[in-house]
Amino acid sequence: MQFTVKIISLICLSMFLIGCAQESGTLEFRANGEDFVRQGFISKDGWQIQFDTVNVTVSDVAAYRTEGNFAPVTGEMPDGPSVATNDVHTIDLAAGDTDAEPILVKAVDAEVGHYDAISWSMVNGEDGNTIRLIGSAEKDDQLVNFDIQIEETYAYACGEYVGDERTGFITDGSTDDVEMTFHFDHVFGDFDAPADDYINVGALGFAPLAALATDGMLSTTFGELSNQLTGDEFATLADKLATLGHVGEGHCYEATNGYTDSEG
Amino acid sequence: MLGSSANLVKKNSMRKLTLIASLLIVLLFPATVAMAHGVESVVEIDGTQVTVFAMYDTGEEMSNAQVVVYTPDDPQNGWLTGVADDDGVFAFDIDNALEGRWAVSIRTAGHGEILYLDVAADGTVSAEAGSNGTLRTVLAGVVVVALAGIAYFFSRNSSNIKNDERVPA
Repeated sequence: MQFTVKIISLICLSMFLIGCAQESGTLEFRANGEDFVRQGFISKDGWQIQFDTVNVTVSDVAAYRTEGNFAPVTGEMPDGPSVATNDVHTIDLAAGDTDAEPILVKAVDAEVGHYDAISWSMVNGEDGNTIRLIGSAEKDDQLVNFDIQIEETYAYACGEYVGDERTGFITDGSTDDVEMTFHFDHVFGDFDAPADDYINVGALGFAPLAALATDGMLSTTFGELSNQLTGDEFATLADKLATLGHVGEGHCYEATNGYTDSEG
Repeated sequence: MLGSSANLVKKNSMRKLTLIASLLIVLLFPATVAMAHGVESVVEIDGTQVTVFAMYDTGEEMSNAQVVVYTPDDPQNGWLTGVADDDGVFAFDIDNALEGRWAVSIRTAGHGEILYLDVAADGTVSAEAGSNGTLRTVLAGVVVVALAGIAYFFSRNSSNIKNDERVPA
């Protein structure tokens, strides 16, 4: 009798432990400035831009399992089981060589499932900036070294990553990632795209910024640019900075300014 | 006098109609004004025949968009890969024996989205209700009907006032 009780107890305990053990893997939060940042590009108005540093500062990065029920249109946050990192991370999107992988922000333990939505905030880093662009731009015989500091904050809620492959799938013991993608071609345009393409029609280009340089150097902030650029130019810059956040080519809703840019 | 009173009523009615219409539009389409060039594809389903109309939110078609269809049981490997035509149209026959949520990835240079389709246990195929394009089509219809009703209401009111004023004292 006692033996039977012990066996049953052992079985029950084993079942309890098995039930408690949740399958999980590792979800990596990554940030990507794409080839525009890593390799440089030519702006819509013909300036060859190279970045030495592209710092973005993010916080409250969360990935969600929404089972496809989230559409980043109305500004609502994704709803579903989630994992997050609330630390403040400043990432240099230009780090590494021209073929560098998207930058690892943080790896977290995550329950199994498909993480098909992500949200993050762009916050002020230690230097007070949410975005900092350091590099050079060249056109004809002109060279402009720039240090552009943006102190505006943004908050993005995004759907599933759209790219060559679907991502965010966690099985027991596996590792996968979710990506915050930053499309800086939105700001400067793309010389390789048609002039009437959306990417160029709404972009600022680099010429308005080059015009502000003194002795080949432009060091400015978002606040200073509000006075230095024309009203239309500054509005364009502000508009396009808010649309930086993407998930690959998938879209996000930018809550601070009420933008949704399904571009990309 | 009679005519000016009727015109005044008519003007007031139109102002009210304009205000109500504006409020309806703002409430139902809060992101419309700030929306940039996005992707808002539409899906039509006829039995197991699925037709994707890949388009930007301007209504412009996403010509030759790359399309990849994923099944519920293998969500990471494409089940079907193809290219939309010049009008952004891509049609395929879904396997409704595979119950669950399907995904359709639609991409072109710098633009993309993922649509979701559901196959029920009985084989019925439906599109995810959160699809932006589909939902907006429904809401647009509601707004039109509402505006028509309001317009009719105010037109009847101004008409009744005109008739009353014509009644001899």
